[in-house]
Amino acid sequence: MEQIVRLIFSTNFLFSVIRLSTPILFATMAVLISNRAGVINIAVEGTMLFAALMGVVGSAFSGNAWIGLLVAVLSGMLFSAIIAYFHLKLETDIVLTGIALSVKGVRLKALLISGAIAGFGGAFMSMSYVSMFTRDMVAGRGFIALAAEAMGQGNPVLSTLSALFFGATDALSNNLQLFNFPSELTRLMPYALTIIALAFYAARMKRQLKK
Amino acid sequence: MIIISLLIAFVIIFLVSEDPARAIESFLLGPLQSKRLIGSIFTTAIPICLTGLAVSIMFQASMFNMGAEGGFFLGALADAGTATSINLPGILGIIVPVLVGGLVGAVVCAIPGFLKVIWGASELVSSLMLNYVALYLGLYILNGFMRDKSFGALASYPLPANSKLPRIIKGTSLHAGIFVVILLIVLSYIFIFKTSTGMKIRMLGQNQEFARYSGIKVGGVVLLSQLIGGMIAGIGGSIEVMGMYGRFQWTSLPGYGWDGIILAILARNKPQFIPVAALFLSYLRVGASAMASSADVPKELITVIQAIMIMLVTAGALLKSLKQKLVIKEALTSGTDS
Repeated sequence: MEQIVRLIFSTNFLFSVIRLSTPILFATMAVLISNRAGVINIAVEGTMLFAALMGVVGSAFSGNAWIGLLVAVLSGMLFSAIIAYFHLKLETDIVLTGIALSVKGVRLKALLISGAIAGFGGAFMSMSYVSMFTRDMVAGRGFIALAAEAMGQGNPVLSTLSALFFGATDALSNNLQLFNFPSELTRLMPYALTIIALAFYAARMKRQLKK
Repeated sequence: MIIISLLIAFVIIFLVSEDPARAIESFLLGPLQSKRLIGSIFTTAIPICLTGLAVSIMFQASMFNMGAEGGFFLGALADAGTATSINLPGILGIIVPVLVGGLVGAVVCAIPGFLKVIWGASELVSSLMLNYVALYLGLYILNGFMRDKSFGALASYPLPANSKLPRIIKGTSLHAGIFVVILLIVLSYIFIFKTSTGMKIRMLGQNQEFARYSGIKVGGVVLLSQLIGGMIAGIGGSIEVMGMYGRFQWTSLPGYGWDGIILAILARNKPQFIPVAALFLSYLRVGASAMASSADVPKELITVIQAIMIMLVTAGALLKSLKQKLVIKEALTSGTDS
């Protein structure tokens, strides 16, 4: 126990919190910006994975990390554009076409920005956190971001704090593996904590609403 | 929509294949070429049919619970655990593990429902997280308590002979699980459309406020539909393990829960349409793998083609439901005007 406490207050742990919060933070902002425009973008997870792959492909072919990053961001936007096409095309039936058009414009922009941010997040996963692409490497961070955004109530500062919280649980779970904890259980922890945090947050909101 | 997606698929095949005619032929007609392949259309449809039913019952109550994936996985694990650790005589070797699997599935899918009803936590987010919890918890149990160390890969002990579902047609992989599927489709249809609880669930799905005012205990009904849906998902996992495998050996989520969501959207949450949608999807899959083995189209392309089809078909289904909702809305507003 004492060892674990010492670990939490070490500088290495702080570094790993920052490193692990970064992709969640990118994903959270991607979710936030599209949610603000009224589109619940649960595809951030997939967008990040796609961008992670394209970043590796881009940098391998060009031999330049910056071009790889650019490719990742552009492919994130492309992915979002496809989503926007499907999502916004469906709404052509809305009666108030005039208003719908400007709403659509805003949503399209929001989704494109969201895709670009998710692209940065994906590039971070495959080009910085580790230097390769592996299957399922985003591992639910896009979904965790949905929880972080919900807990931040759509406010960027609060959402950043919740993203940091999830990054910290991620870092803790990584570090606990050093203490002979079963690795399945430590990998389970961030997800379980997300559920608990979400429930706590929702319970508090409900109580506030009652008052 | 289906025709458009088939055309896009053909274009992709033309681009990558050197012998596109043969590839397309084996994609469209391949599944009908042998008894074994026709059988495998049905066996492929069995698990997705059950998760499709599970998801449509959960969605009927307007709960976007994605937990069918986790329920399927842990249900299958509980099924294998029960079958391998308790010595059950005769037919009980099938019934008891399936029920345990169903129970575990019900618990998994009820958690997001519970969090939603009690505290109002988003069931979408909590169920997505719960799938990861289910995966790692399952792997922990498999690795720590059920692992057969004499077997090369991570897997449970083999199922006893009386816990395997018998093959019902020789020369095919079709197993007795199909009877469970038929039974559950009929029961789900009766439950949703012919019972008063089913009516309450549907009412809740259509208009929550109205349901509340008409005195329905919203929380209880939501929870019940999640429990039943989860139970079907868990039974689905159990049936798949007992029908197709000798042991539990999944080390990642098999994805049948996601297929269930696709089917529920295609069938517009109606249990009676689930088997049609399931057979359509499994026909595509069997055709695609026939194409991969007989022509030069790589297996990975199958997933891409499938995704295009699903996106287009889903968009079509959503479009229809959106139109329907608008019509209802218009009818309601004109009703209050007059």
